[in-house]
Amino acid sequence: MEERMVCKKEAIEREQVIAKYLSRSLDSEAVEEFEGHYLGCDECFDEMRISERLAADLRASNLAWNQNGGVSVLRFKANAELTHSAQELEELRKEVLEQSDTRVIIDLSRVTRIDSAGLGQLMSCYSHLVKNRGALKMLNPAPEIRKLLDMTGLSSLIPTFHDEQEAVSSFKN
Amino acid sequence: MDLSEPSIERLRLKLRYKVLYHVGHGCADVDDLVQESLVRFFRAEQRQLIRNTEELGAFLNGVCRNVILEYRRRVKREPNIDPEMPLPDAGVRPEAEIFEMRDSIDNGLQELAERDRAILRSLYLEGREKEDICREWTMTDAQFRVVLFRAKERFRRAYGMEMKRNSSVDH
Repeated sequence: MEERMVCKKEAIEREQVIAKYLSRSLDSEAVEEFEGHYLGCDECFDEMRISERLAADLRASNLAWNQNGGVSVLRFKANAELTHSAQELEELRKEVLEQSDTRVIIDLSRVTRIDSAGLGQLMSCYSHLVKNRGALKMLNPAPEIRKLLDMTGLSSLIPTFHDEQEAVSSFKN
Repeated sequence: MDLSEPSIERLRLKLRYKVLYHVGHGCADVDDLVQESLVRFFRAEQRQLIRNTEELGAFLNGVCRNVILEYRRRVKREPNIDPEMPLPDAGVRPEAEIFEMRDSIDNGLQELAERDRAILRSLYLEGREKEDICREWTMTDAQFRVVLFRAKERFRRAYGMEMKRNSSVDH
């Protein structure tokens, strides 16, 4: 097993195991192996906690704004989840509700999972922007996200585009 | 085996990580599952069932895994106990915990270049392979190592300070 004796590994290899564990990319057997290891190894447990903090901070800075034709485009810099416990959800809310521009596109291309809390947050962003004489559009959701948006009727309320220029132009109509 | 209070608290903390990873942060029974794992573990220790102390982590892991499996079976059998039980999340901590945690670390990432942050995101948030990241950013192993350990060092210092502060509060 690749993860055996993880603290005997070279530091960078150990960090890869930890990073995969934190991002849930290890298979179940490797997860068991790593957990069995850190439960008995203080050094690896501490390394994991430090990396977890690093990952939490990365997650918090995962959003970026840019301007396109007078419209604010909000993007995720890395893959993100809009689920009840994901930090991105709170960040998204803060970013949209606390900025003054009310013509907003949210680029969903890096959103890998969304649940009812995430859909609710998109809805409250939409309500906030409309209330402030603005509008919200969504850009490039992955097929499974698009399916959810369609099923819940959210895509009929918040227009969804696959081309950014088209989305920007739609604000002029 | 060291059964001093700090050692037990350390085991409790580690078990809490494992349990949270598997049942999610929204589960109200996390502390019960951790406690049950500890009780079973100490019972086994008293009966001298743990022969090889080097395999202590693996043994504790097995105990905790069984506790989680039994819990899942029970919840499945008796769904009325907690119909609101949330699904396991993506392994991230609740917001309050994260903000509390971030208070103590002086946001070390702000000092990093955007390129370094993007590299770290690929590793920690997307779980990508080192080779893949190096290829994308046309960087060598040594350069990757510098980015990674420079960032970790910032967090290690903050973590060390926090541990020190917590231990002074405990005493």
